[in-house]
Amino acid sequence: MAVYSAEHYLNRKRLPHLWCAGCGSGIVLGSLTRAMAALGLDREKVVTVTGIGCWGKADDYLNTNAFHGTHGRALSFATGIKAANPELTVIALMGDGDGATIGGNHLIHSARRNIGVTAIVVNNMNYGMTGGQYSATTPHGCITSTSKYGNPEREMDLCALVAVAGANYVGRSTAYHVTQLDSLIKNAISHKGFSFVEVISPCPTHFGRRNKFGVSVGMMKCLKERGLNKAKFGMLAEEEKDKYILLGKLVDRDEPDFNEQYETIRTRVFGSEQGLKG
Amino acid sequence: MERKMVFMQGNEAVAEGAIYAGARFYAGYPITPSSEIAEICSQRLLEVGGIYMQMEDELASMAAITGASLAGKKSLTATSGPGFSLMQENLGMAQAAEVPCVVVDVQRSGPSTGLATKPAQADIMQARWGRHGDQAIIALAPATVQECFELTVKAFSLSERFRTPVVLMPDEIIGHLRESVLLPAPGELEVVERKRYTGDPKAYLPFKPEDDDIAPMADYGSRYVFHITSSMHGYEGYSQNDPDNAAWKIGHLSDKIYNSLDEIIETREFFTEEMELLVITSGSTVRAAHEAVRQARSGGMKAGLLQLITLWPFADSKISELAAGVKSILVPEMNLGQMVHEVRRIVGAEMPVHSLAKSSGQGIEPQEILTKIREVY
Amino acid sequence: MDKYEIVFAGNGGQGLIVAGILAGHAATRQGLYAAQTQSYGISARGGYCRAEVVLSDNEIIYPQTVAPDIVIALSEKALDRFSGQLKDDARLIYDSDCIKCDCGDPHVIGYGLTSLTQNCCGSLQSLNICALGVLLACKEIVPVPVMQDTIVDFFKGKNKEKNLEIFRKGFDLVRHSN
Repeated sequence: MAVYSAEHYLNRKRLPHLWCAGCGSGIVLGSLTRAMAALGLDREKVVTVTGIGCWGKADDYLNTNAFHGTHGRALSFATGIKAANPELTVIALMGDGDGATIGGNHLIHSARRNIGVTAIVVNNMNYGMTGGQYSATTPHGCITSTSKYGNPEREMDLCALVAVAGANYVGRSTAYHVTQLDSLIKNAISHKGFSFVEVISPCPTHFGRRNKFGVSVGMMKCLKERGLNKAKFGMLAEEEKDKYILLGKLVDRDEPDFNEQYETIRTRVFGSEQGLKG
Repeated sequence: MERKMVFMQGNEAVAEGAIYAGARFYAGYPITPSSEIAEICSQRLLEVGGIYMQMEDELASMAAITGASLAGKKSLTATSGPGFSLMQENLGMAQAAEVPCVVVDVQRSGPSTGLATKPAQADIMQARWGRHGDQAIIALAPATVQECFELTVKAFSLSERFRTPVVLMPDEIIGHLRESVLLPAPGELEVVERKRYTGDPKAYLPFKPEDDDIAPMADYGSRYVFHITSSMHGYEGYSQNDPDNAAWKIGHLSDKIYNSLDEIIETREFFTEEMELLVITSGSTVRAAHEAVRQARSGGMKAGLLQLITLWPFADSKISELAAGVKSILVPEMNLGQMVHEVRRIVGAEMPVHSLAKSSGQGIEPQEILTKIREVY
Repeated sequence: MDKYEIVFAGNGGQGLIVAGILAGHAATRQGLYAAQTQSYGISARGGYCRAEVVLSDNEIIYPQTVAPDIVIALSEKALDRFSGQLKDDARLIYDSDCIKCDCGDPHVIGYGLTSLTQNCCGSLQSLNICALGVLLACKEIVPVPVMQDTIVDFFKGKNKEKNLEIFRKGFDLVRHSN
């Protein structure tokens, strides 16, 4: 295995990044490059797929292959890439608007299909790039630019959704719990099948400001206080759980992935030799 | 190898043509009247070492074939009007990012769910203008099952040659028609492969065109690392908002196609010698028009027929050339009038251009065209 | 054969399109040009359904039937659509087990195809193959063995004996009545 530093994966020509001061995206990018380094990935064999949104700009700062696609479809591009060449490490970087709201259906079906893609959803609980409107993960009652008197809709638990849809690996962390995040991303990338990491991340510009979390420091403090591991979270009274965030590895399965299932069928039907009838 | 006639369905010929052209990846969502293409590809791709994927919708289908193409596999999807509408988003992505792939739209009657699944030729303008922003598209329309096979091969070749998605648009009549066809032997039809970069990895610019207007490609996973984006971009494939670059890039997406019309545009003529009335049409309507023109000739009327095999870019110069010698033009089509406007644009206001527009979920019959020929002759 | 037009008309689920496809396959095998089209509603079972076949020694310009040479009608509605609409020398064969017709036209002839198929096969699954036998008896679009081989190949040998038997019975029913 080649030994690379995290910087090896950074595209310095495109830095500095465009994220706001106090945004969590840069922290997640750091975790991602450290995970790539820890796994010794060859950047030629990595494809980073992104959609549209703040976190969707992350591919610009990476030295890997990249596919910056349309809003919400990152997982569908990633699915085609991985299915066509299973040797590649395919990582989809999406925000909560991109990956869970407009792209929610693709998220469900990528997990169900167990395609060998790693999805890293940076959940800042609103559409940051377009001015802080509410998304599918904005907590009920929160103030956004399109819910000035409180969000009438309820938020969605992405990890629970992806877990029940059939992903092999599911984990959640925050932009504050960086050591844990490094490890979750590393494990997710090396895990067979669909792997999913949700990162709760501050958007001080929109979400934090409107919901009185204060700016960067206040939001970080909030993540620190509310993020709990399984043991601590489990000791909470039921009515308390809503106020806290369950962190850590939530699903770890070893089900065959899409390509493996497909090749199993091919072998069963045609034997081990392929391409007999061109 | 001796070739023999086989009896085959249009949709089946599309699937077999795709395999012949080297397609090894299909992603789609089932929809009548295109489903046979999915069914056959699901079987045949398994046999030939390819991959068939059934996606959750047409947005994902179009996205998956775009991704697979960049991973090095010739890719296709097949759909009909309602699905083609959903594909417009990522068809635009594939155009912007210059990704070769083939989209088959077996046209059915709309709008919306419409007459499931009666024939129409009403997606002609959607194929041309369905995406936002400026771009050019290549679209082909077969009129026989033989052409379903051959034009699928051609669609792949054009997409690989021009680094662009190509739309193949049989109408339902042709997609479901079964006919005797002569299948080409391997190697008999030209199969073009995309131009791939072979130079220094550090010098690779995935969007810098060479003298033939086309930038060489690389596959994900090769030694060439590259960046693709749906945003406006320069040679290196990173987003760029410079107006000069944007003007160049937007122009390039059309120029690379419009600079090579001779390679792209294919038409076929029937009875066009000593002609007074020119019939112009495409797809299954060609068959009815051919019969009508044949009967018109028997009846002493000097009618001729131009089949538009390439729908987009429109065959402007061929139409101008043939129009120069005639007194009037008739455009039968299974919609309320789409091609006819293009024909009028080309020939000008002096030339009488008659429309035989039928949008009822039924094919146009020879008798209807013959009656109209008599009326306008 | 300059041009010969065949229509199988009846209800969805009767296998009419398969009958049309088999006629097309057999003709192609024999070196003829064949074109087959169909029209049906959105339901796979029930409802009016029609398979059309055009055969010719030459390339077929218009692939749909314009003036059928023969119509095989397996439902009341199918008969109604075509009776009185046909050209002079065209034949219309209908299933007299389920359709009543007193038109007196010598070109319109009924045969008990349902009972023949039911008695021979124990089900109506092969009514379409019976119809093909009827077609060949009226007009030998291809030599009988070519059609038989086509049927066997199409079903990959499945129900071979039953299919060949009902094909022959349909053929004989018409031949022996003439």
